[in-house]
Order: sequence, then C-alpha cells, then structure tokens
Amino acid sequence: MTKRATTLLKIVLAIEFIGLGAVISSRLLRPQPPWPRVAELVDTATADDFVQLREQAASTDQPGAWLALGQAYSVHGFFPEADLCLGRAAALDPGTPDHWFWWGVTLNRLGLTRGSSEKLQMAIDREHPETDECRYIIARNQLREDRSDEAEATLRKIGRNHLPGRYLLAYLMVHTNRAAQALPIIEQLADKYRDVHRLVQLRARAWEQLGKSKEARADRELADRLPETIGTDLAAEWLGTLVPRFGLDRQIANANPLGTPRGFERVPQRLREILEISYRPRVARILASLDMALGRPQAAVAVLEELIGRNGEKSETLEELARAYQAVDRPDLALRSRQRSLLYRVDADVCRRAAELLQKLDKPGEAAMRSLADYANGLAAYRNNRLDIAVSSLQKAIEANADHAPTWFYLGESLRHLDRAKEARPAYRRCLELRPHHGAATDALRRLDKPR
Amino acid sequence: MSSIASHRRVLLLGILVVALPIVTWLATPRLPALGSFRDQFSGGSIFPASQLPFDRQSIGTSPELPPWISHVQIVDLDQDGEADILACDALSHRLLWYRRNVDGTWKETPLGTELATPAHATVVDLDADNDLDILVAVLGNAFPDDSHVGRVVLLENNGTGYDRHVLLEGTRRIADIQAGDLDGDGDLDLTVAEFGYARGRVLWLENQGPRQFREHELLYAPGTINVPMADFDGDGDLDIAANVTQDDEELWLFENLGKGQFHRRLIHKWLNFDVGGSGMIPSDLDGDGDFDLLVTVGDNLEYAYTFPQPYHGCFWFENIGEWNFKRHRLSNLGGTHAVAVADLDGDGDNDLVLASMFNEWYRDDTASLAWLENDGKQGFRKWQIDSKPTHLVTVAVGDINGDGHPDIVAGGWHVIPPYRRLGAVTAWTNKNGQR
Repeated sequence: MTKRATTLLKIVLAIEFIGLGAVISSRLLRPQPPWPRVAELVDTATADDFVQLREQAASTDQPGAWLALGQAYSVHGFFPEADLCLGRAAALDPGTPDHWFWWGVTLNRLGLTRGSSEKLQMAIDREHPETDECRYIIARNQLREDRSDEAEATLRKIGRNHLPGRYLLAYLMVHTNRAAQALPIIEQLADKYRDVHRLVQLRARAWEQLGKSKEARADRELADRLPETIGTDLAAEWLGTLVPRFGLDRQIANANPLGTPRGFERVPQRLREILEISYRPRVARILASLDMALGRPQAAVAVLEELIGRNGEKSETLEELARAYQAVDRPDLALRSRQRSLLYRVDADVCRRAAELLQKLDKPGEAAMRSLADYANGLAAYRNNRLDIAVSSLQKAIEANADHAPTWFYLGESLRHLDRAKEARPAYRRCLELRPHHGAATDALRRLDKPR
Repeated sequence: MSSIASHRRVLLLGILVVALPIVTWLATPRLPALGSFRDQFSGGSIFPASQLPFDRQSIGTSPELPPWISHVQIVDLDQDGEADILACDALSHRLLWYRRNVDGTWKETPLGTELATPAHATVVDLDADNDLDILVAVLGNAFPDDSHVGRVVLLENNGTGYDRHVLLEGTRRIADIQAGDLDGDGDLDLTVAEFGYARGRVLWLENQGPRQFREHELLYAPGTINVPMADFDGDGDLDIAANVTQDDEELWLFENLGKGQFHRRLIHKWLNFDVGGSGMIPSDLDGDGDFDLLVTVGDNLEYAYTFPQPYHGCFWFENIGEWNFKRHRLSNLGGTHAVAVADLDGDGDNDLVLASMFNEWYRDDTASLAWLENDGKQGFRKWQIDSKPTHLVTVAVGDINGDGHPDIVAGGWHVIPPYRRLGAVTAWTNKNGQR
C-alpha cells in the first residue's frame, strides 16, 4: 500500500517537475521589455511613466501591459521599441484586434509597410470596430510601395461614408487619368460635404483633365473660399488620440481646469510645476490665461514675456500679452504689443482693440485701425464663403478708408461671386487706380468685360 | 522501523506534491525576465565615415533654445571679395548676416527684422544699381495656416543699409522667391511659391517698374516649396520649375513661350501621399550641357514624432530632352531635406551634399549630413560627414575660408523632438588635401 502510494506520488511529482519546470522556464525566458535611453530623451515625468509601464509589462507579462507600454513608446516616437512590445501583446493574445491595430499603426510609422498592412488585416479579420480606418491605412501603405492598383482595390472595399477613403479613391482615379469615372464619386461627396475645399479642388482637377477650363476655374475659385478640409493622415490622428494617456501629457490633461473645477486655484501651481519639468508653449499659454482669469495679470505678463523669449513672437501670444498689459494698466505697452501682433497677422478683434487703445491714449490712427478691422472681418467672411457679410464689412471699411487697394479687390471678388458684376467692376477699377499692377484685379476685370 | 520510514517518505512526497505548485505559484511572479526580443528594427541611415576630412564649426553664438534656421546661403553680400553667410532665422523673425573675422570666427549682424518667419532669402541686384538687394519669402507662420499672412519683401540696399519694401502682400504663406528676366525686357521678374497650406499658388511677378510687380498665376496648388528658374529646353530663355508637395506631390515645368506666356508641363507625380517632397534645385549634374533637377523627399512634419522612411532620399531627374526627364534614385538618406552640388573632392565631377531633418535622432550615430561621391558616371558612393547637429533643413556649398575647396554650411530647424544635438548655422570646412 505504502509502496504503491510512494510510486504514485513519485509519478505525480515527476509530472509536476516537468509541468512546473516548463512554467518556470517559460517565465524566465520571457523577454525583457525594451528600454530606450529615456532619461536622456524625455522629460522626467514621462520617464517615470515609462518605468512603471515597463515594470508592469516585465512583471505581469500580460498582453494589456505590453499594449500600454507599446502605445506609450509609440506616442513618444520610440517606434522600434513599440514594435517589439505590441508584437508581444499580439503574441500573448492574438484574439484581441486592438493589439494588431496598434502594431499595424506603429509599423506604418516605421516604414515597414508590408508588415503594417498584414497586422491591420489581422485586426480586420478579428472584427476591429474601425475596419475602414484599417483599410485606409493599408491603402496608404500600398501607395507607399508604388502599388496603386492594389491600393485602389483596397479603397473600393471601404464604406461609402468614410470620407478620407472615398476622397482618396477619387483622387487616385483623377490622378491616373480617369477623371470621368471619378466625377460621380466626387459629386456625391461634394453634395454631402458642401464646405470641404479638397473635394472642390479635386473636381477642378478633373474638369481640367476633361478640357472644361471654365468649370475648372469656377471650382478653383470656390475651393479658395471653402473652410473645411479632410483629414487624411489617419495614422497620425490615431497616434494623437493616445497622447493625453501617457507621461507629462497625462499630467497636463489631468491639470485641465475644466476637469477639476474645485481645484481651480491649484491648477496654476500644477502647471508651473509641469513647466519646470519640461517647457511647453501650450502649457504656458494655458497658465497665462488662468492667471488672467484668477485676477493675477502681473503673473500672466511674466509667463507671456518668457514664452515670447523662448518661443519667438507669435500674433496670438502678442495679443494675449497686450491683454495682460492692459490689465496691469499699461496701455502703452498693450498698444505696442498689439501693433506687433498685427505685423504677423491682421485680425479683426486685434484691430478693434488696438483702435480702442489709440482712442484711449489719444493717438492718431484710430479710424484707419477700425477700417482695418472691418477689412479683416470682410476677408475672413470672404474666405468662409459668407459673401453677403463680406460685402457689408468691406463696404464699411471703405467708408473709413477708401485708399486701401486690397479692400476694393475683395469687395470686387465678393460681388462677382454674388453675380453682381455691375457693382464688381467699379470696385476692381478703384483697386487698379490704387495699385495699377494688381494682377488678380486686372484678370478679374478682363473676364467680366469679356463678351459672353 | 521500515514501515515508519516508508510512511515518512510518503508524507514527504505528499508534502512536496502539494508544496511544489504552491511555491512555484508564489515564486513565479518574482522570477526575473531573462529572455530577449529579436533584434530591434532600426530605419535610420548610417553611412561609412567620410574619407574626405571636414572640420565642423558653429557659426555665431551657441543656441540656448532650439533654433529655427529655415535657409542658409553662401554669398559675398557686401561684395568685398570674401564669402559671407546669410541665414533666415524663423524664430527671431530676421535675417542673420555672418562675416568672417581674421581669426576664423564669424561676426553676426541682424539684417532685416520683423520678417514674420522668413523661409528663404534670394540675393540679387533687383534694381540694377550694382549692389545686392535681398528678396525675402515671408511665411508669416511656421505652422499650418491658410490665412493671408505671407509676403514678398524686398530689402533694398541703399549703400549703408537696407530699406524694406513689401512687393506683394495679402497672400498665403510664401516659401520661395527667385529672380530672372522671364519676359525678355531686360529687367528682373520674380517667381513666387505661395505655399499656403490647403490652398496655394505658383506665381510669376512681372516687373513693371521700380518696386512695381504684377502677379500672374501659373498654377493653383497648395504646398509649393521651390520655384527655381533655368533654361530647361536650351532655347535661350528662362523656364520655371515648381515643386508641389502638399495635397499633390508633383513636379511641374513652365515652358517660357516668350512675351510672358508659359506652357505648363507635369513632369512627375508621386501617388505616394506620404513621400514628403522637401526640396528641389536645378543643376547640370552630368555635365551634358542641360539642366537636370535634383529633388529631395523626406518631409515628415505632419507627425508629432517622426521616423525616417525607406523611400526618403534624393532623386536625379535627368533631362533627356523634349521636356522628358528620367528619374534616378541616388540616395536613401532618411528625412532628406536639402541637396547642394559641388566638386567636393576636386576630381572634376559633381558631388552632392545631403542634409537630413528627420533621420532616427534617438540614436547618436545616424547621419545628419552626408555627401555622395560621384564616380564620374553619376554612380554615387555615400559618405557620412556628421551626425550632429540634427534637424538640418537647408544646406549650401561654397568656399567660405578662401582656401579653394568647397565648404559646407547648413541650418537646423529643431521644431520636433528630440531637442538635443542642437545647432543653428554650422559650417564644415573641407580639408581636402589633408587626407
């Protein structure tokens, strides 16, 4: 009896040795997570995050931990390391489509397009919810490999509601001399997305190819006034969605005042700490606006002056600085800052505020500045195809200053596109009186005067 | 006795049978990972160290902040017989003029200020008064922007300084300006690349008198970065080339028909949306008497973090006549952004210098500057000159120290991480003869 028990236990023990040995050896042989020289390359907060994510992947060897580490690496440009981590996640749990998707996106960034397409196809096969996005990136991979026929076949599988995919399909057809075939697709999209300039620009190219120069010109002019676009860099956009999840960017997202209404007062301090870790212009701008909102304009002045010192002058920063100067009762400095802002960009609101300061400081030029504000307003309306608003703003600008050639030109343009040719002609003529060499005004007037 | 021993053995074995899985279960999570991955991928370009020796020298003050130098050129601006360096600084919104001191250091003089993000400067005697003026392509904003912030600015040499004139405003971002007599009337006209962002144009500006230019649209397309002029068909007048790099990735030529008339020709189109056109210069690379085009691809600016791509590099579009160009791929340098031509090794043929903005900068050994040695038959051997500074977006070649050998000057635009191995304007003096 004892002998039999002994034998049985020995057998069990032997089986255990084999089984547990296999477990231990596989555990010992699991790969160490790759480790870039993060301390030299990223800020300390992000490096700390990497350390934690790495430890988690190393200790648990769970697919979720490898996915997180791979995503964090990918977001910060450590694509070779991300490739290994995401590959491990997919090997440990091949059934999860997200592992394949992110691996495919990362390989796309590495330029390993074949591998990227394979992984994205695996994601599709596992019913990833973003099948069209996967196919779009696969098509872009195929174009990068000069396989445009295959790319077109891939794009044809994309659903009709996927704007970038349908646009790229039409683009490929136009740019391989099949404008007539592409036009129905473009028309369908342009009907649905009326404010998207890229569609109209592509249609202009198609008309050109078909020898219809009048239609092409009309579409080019319309494209110039349509505000919306199509995001076509989907791999970049997907990586962008991950940014607030890791490192210092997560801390910035967490410090968002909208997310912590009770701790509003503490947010500036937190942002200052973040700036100490790594100087980010975006964070400095948020900090300055918070300082202003909390009634600390002097602190905002300091932040914005440092921002300009570090990041150069930008029209937006100069305007924010002007507001801060005004709040600390330095209208002279505010005016100077605003005038500098206008050197970089003519903005209606900045002009209006500058006009108010000129009036307050009893300096000349207020009327001209208000006229410039109306011009800027008119131009912005023109660029957004709001032609009636453009006309009224530009006419208002002319009432105060009738010697600004661009105002007359855009008034002429707005009236022409409203089919008010009779009123457009004198506007162009006045523009040419002021600037006789204005080519676009000359051409527009010539076309208007040309007998139909 | 033996029965007790047997029972003890059974007990011991039983304990082992139970304990072993428990101990394993407890110990396993603590076991170190001793395995390793397959080799990590590296897409960075690394070439053999140059046999031709170069000495690196920072020009001007060392940068404290990541510099944004958008353009460099070697030119004798004050016409004193010595080469100067002219750089566009897009961070401080000005031009920087560097003159060489006797001790080999360089004196920095800011020239134009309040040039909102200058992208390119062209030095030319625009008003034919025997001094050199400067045309500045003003972007208005370094980042994607479709608003009317661009300008064509002339810094007119008045003998003691420069007077600033705006020749064209109310345009989108301007990336390039070139000058030449396009209509054969004896004065200098201009070509302008209105890069814009989602919208843009190629223009030529007809000179109609002192500082009066009438614009003509040649092409409506966003993202044009270069508009050089050259006589591509050898008929004695200047034609225009345009490198379009945004929605479309295309090379266009505009044949000069005379009297201000042009016939446009598409000479190449990439269907690869990601190719990243980054630069183009005309050059008679093969010395056969006609102008070819050298084109670089390697732009990656749509990504927050970049990585070199296998198709990045430099292409030679060989002019084979009748407006036909044959494409040759010359180099695979990741993130190539600029090319310059010179006989670096003095063997009588044209070599190339390539600058990289987006190589794999997390590594220390990837090339930021390389040269391609011509074997005399346009076969090229790649040599790495340097791996720092990184993010080189512009390169020029010329003899900056008067020793008869072509030297190299490049500018760094550090707009994307990692912010290390920084450099604003850097020179590499050619030590040919000392190898």
